[in-house]
Amino acid sequence: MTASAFDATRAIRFDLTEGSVRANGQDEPLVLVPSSALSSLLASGPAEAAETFGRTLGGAIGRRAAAEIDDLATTPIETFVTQLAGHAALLGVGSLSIERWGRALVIVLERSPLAALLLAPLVAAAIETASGRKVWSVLLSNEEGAARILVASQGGVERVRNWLTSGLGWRDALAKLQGGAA
Amino acid sequence: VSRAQTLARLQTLLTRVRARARHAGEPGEVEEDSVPPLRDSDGAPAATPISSLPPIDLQDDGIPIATADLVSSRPPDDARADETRMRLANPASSVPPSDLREEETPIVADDVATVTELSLAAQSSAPPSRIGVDPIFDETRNDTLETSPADELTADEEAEDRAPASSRRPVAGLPTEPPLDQLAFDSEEPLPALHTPPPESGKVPAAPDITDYDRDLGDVEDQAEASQRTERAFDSAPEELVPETTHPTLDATVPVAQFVGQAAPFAPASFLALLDATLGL
Repeated sequence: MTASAFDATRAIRFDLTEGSVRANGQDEPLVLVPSSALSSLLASGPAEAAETFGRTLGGAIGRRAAAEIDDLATTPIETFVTQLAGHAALLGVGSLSIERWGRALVIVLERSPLAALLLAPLVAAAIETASGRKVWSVLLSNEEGAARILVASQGGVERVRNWLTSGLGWRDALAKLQGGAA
Repeated sequence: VSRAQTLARLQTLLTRVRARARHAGEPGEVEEDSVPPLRDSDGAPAATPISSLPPIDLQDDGIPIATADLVSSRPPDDARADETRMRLANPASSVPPSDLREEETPIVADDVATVTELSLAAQSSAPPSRIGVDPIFDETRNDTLETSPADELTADEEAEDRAPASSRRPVAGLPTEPPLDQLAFDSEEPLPALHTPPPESGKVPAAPDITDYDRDLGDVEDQAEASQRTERAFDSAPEELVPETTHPTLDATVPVAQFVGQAAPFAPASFLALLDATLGL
């Protein structure tokens, strides 16, 4: 198996005798929860609880992706994204891909059943866990079934958040972010 | 014209010259007593008082020239030009008779009156403007003016005719002064004014109105017509000002910008490189 390919063979094991679901090679049991129930839970709880839930879920994705990568420093973008997207798909958070807007890294989650509130912490935690770098993220847009999350430094994320709050479009904000970094 | 008529005209001319000199009142006025009367042997006015001169022996080689020149009172040294002519009156001249032409008959100057008559005849045949000057001696006229009383009168007359230095201004278009003989014999009209008359007092003519600058400068425009056109221009109601815009002609198809080289594309080799780049924002 090459590094760029994601092998999902026997990734989830359902033990029907014991009534448990386990990921491949993991001892931790999984819980299959309807998304509507999760959304209701997050809506009833505080914002920090939703962020924590998202970061925990994203960390799990990143750890599984990193387990599939031999040398992270030399891993191509496609390989990293493939592993990350494969494990995100196993957990059912949506179809993950990346967009590169200049130097800016944008994670795209399509058809995600999760609430938008969970996406930015989920993505940040997955990248941090897989790469070992501290990153920050902000939701740029969530339209037509596709959510775009910017991954950048803390200062860059803050500036873009302010620009979006002031009414600037996410594309213009990204362009403006490029100019400010030049 | 007889001799008497010629002399009468000369006398008239002399009288006019004296009158003009007297009228001008300038220095150099010719006094009447200083000018010898011009009368011939018959009592009529003559050019010079030949009869008062002592008789000269024409047989002498040097004297006859002076005798003949007594008419014009020229010094003998200045009379070399007519020496040949004088030899005709001197049969004892140093020139041998063989040098003379056969038809030239030598004149024996045994009588002073004969010489005088010849001189008077020569004077009457000369132009009246050269009083007492033989036409042959025109080339040496400057020398004769110093000694000839009649020529002095002529010189004085010329000096009187010139305008004084203070009023010598170039006068264009004035007719030239008629010759003296015409004034003496043919015309009694006074000379035209030598100076430009002062401008008449009154209205000064206005400068021509130049309103049409498009016309040729050499075209002389009627002043009345120009004045009427100017009045019409001022009388007409002012029109509303309309700006006249001039747009530049620029060619937009010219490639102004020139790109040299190519920007280095951002192509990270690994995901960590991309992550570092985005974290740098």
